[in-house]
Amino acid sequence: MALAAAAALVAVPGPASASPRATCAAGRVCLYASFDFNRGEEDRWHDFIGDDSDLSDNIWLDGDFAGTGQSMDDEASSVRNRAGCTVTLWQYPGYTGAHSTFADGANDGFLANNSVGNNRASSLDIWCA
Amino acid sequence: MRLTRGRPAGLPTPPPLPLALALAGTLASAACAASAPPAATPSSRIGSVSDLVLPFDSYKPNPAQRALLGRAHGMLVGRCMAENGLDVSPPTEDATAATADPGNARRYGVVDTAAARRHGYHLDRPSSRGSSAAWAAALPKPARLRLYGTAADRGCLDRASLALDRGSRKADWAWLALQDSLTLDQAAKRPAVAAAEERWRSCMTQEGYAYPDPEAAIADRRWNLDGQKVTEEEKRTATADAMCKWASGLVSAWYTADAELQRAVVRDNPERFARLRDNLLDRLGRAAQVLGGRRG
Repeated sequence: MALAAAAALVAVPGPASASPRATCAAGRVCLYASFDFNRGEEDRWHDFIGDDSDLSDNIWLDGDFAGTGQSMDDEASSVRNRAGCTVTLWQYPGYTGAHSTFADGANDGFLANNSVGNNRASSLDIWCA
Repeated sequence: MRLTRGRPAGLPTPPPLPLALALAGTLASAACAASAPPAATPSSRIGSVSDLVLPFDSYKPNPAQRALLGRAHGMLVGRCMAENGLDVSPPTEDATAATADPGNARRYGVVDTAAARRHGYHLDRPSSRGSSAAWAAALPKPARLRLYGTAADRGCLDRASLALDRGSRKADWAWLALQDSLTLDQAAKRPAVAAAEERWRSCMTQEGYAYPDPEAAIADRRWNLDGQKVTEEEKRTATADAMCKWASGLVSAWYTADAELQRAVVRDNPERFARLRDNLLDRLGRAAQVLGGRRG
């Protein structure tokens, strides 16, 4: 688990919305740092609208859309796909290694038992037919 | 989790590849054979991406089966939306998307030399950037809500998945997926793979690329794998990388160890695998019923 300096908080403006814990906006893929979409846990999440070849370049956002300073590499534990397209999570950066495919609308609250596994996803691609 | 064993990322040296390397793979093989320790003899003849068939593959839905399941799911979603007075069908995983699945082509990194020549380290398929957002933007809010639902009220996507699974014998696909990543990781730690990586490094150095390992090559900051642009330098580097992976025996060593580990998992868990097969058969039968017009 790679942690950036926790004190380096970066404010990231976001749309007014319900807590990401409960929702994921249409057109997006949402990753959550904890199982069950962060239920009962600190609300660390991030959403995507396009490919990302190295999740370690991203930081988790908190429930108020502020950056936590914590790298996303190898940390995702649950996923919601609202992209309207198929999403693939890859075990290694650069879209390599084992992969798991999630159809539109798929929810997986327990990536621990998935191809990329808990705390293992390192890249993500969105494929629209 | 990565093959990297703690070495810092290095910078590539920029000399251009010999033209012959870009045009034919034989030179790389010869160069590596001359400069690096001899490659370990693989337990089976592995010479191209199409040879990378693993024991778990026969238990996963193939592209045609995935397309069938996708079409049935799409039909159930459409029915559910229509029952709510909404004439909206989301993009579904059709035959095109199912066959676009990369399979094992990138399991051991970029090893498809022909694809590397055309696409460098980029994924070999059309970019979808912006497509999903455009689709969502065009979706009326009531339709969006019914499609995805809420925590308290399942949407049509979830309902369709449940309908397709109804009555199927249970199986633990998540367990299979976890094993799929574990065998890859464990195989990467085998001495034969480490030795092959040494030969890969020698091969790449000889071709003018001083990367410490394949992860550093694909992670070079000069390539933007999130965008569509692929430079000629990226193509040349990825081509040399893929050729060296074959010439050094890295693909063969990693695949051989991976396949051996998967065979052991299958051998030690016959009931789990029987359930996976039964579950897939049940769902395919259900999907065929749905597509044949029987109400779910």
